[in-house]
Amino acid sequence: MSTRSLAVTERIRSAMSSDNADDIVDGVKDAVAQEVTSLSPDAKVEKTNYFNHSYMPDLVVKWHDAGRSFARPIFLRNDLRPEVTEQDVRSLADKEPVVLSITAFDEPSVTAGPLRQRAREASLVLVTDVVSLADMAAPFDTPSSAPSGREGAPLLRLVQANLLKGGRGLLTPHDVERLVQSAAPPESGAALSERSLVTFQETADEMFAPDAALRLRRSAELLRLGLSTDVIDAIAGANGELSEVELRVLVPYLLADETARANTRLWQYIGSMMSLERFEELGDELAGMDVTALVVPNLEHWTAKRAQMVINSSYGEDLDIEMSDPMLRNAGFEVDAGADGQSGGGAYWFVANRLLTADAGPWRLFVASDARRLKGRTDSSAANWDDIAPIVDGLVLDSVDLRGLSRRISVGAEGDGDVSSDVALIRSSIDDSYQVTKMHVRRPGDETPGSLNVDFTEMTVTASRGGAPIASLVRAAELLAHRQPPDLTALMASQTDLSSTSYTDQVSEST
Amino acid sequence: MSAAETVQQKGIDGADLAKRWLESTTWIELPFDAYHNAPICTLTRLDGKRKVYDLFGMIHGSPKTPLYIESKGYDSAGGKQAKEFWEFLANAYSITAQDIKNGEDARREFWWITRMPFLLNDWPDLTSAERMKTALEQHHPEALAKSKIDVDTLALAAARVEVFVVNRRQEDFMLTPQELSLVEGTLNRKGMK
Repeated sequence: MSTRSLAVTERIRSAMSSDNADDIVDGVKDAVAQEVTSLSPDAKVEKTNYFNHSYMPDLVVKWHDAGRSFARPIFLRNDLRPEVTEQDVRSLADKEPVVLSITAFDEPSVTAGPLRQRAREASLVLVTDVVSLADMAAPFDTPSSAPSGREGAPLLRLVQANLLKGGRGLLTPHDVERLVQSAAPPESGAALSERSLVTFQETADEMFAPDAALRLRRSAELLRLGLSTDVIDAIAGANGELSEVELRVLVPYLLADETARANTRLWQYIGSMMSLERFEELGDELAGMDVTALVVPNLEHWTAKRAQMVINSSYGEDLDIEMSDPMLRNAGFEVDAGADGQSGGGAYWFVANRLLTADAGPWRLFVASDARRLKGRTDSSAANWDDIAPIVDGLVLDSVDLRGLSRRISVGAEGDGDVSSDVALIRSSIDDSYQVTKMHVRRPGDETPGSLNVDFTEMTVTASRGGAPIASLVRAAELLAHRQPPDLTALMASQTDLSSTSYTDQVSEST
Repeated sequence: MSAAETVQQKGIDGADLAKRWLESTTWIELPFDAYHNAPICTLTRLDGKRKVYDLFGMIHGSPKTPLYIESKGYDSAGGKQAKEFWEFLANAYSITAQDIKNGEDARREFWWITRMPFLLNDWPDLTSAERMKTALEQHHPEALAKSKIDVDTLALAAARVEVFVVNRRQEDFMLTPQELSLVEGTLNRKGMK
């Protein structure tokens, strides 16, 4: 029994020996809720107004995942006497509950008893005791007691987080030991060997509901793909959506690993099971991390609604912007430092205020899944057509409003059509200086409907309702930065490679 | 399992059945039992003797009524059930009298739950005040601690004693936990709304 188990059982024993009903109920529920929260920090534990009741739960674990709400009732029991517990398993099965003994359960025999059999037969009933919960949480609580490195094992953390949400069958301290060993074998790191993976999958299939077991298996395979130096051919079940806890555990862990960062295929898999919106929800976990490895392979797959360019105030502090390009200041930016007119190197993606962000030379680029999160400016200068014309090259120009000194000309096409040549004709035939505040462009090949609205006053690029690939928004955002074109190569790296082979092709090649 | 352990096990099983049955009425909650919460299931008689009840809980109402269950797992006629019932009656009076002596009537009810009927010739009068008086005078005078029987307290205590016979098959015909949980909120027995 771990130190944590001893502590919680003593806390419960002390509460149970009270002669005051409220002290008993509150003491026991608080002690159990602490273990539940420790295992599932993302879940909320609600106490009911019942205690040790035949058919009403004592606690309800509630959690959200990918926009959906889930709940699982916990029925506290004084012990797990087989005859009574079998009755509970039968009668409560419809509620898919956790039946939790507040005292230690000693399975009478190592061979599977009727209670184990009965609990196994129920589709989603977890029968366990508070000692098992505490033992499961112990690696977090007492890292010094765990073998070196295992306390932070990501797969173990996922097992812990999923135990009360998707665990099933009879779970005793012996089972917990088996589960911990399979999720974080002492002989290997976070990347399970082929043999360990098989053992883990068997254990997960036994102790978790099918959906939870599949998710754990998928996580194990993603870790193996990312961390192992072996050549991994395929990942089974790499579809659907990664759960919130999977994202919170796997993504930061793998991003921190050099081998994993270099594995583009890993990030394609992960990216295919999440979205920019889910990525933004991870903001706190990813704060301060370079997320380029994850973002770049998914620039075409993830869609966003708006991008905004602002001055990167931390760039080139030893340079004077007015000496290099007074137009930036004239454009209305509040800058205290600036660029020398050359493209900045070392651009990378990161997360700031839960927004996908990149610093590229003198510019900071924000990309958001919700346009309302990027308000844009109201007073930035219009662009000179002659300055942006070279950058428009390569994009489809759907429409533009040219404002000259003597004329204002709106150029657009009925339906889809590139009006670039029309604008060039106007520009060459009418002598004027044309300013542009808004224009609509598309990236050739984009399957998403609608144009990208490039607004030089706001310094934003906004996609139509369905959103657009991040790559398209970034490409259009280059127009906003025409005064000091940044080097976005690092932010878009591998786009060239990816353009020749679709993601689907890559997956099929690997499977 | 020794004979004593067998008897105790039957008592535990009987208490489990009593708990499920009574809670299925939706009027009663019995969260505490003698095996795990002995202090809260223990009451004191006039003579200072402590009596531990198998189950303790509440009957919902306004106000709530404290309920103490004596559960008997006898599965044959005869035995010690009739003898133990005399003590049960004496205890109910003595504990009620002790409450009143302490300055507050706690309004405790005492229910005898058994699987086997007993004393069938006396069955209609098992919980009468007269029988409780007999229990005190002839079977357990020590429960009075040399005090005189108070007629009002005797009537009060007798009115709070009940005997129920539960057949194990009753459980097969109770509403299921799933069904009960559906109506629990609507019935609002606990008066939480």
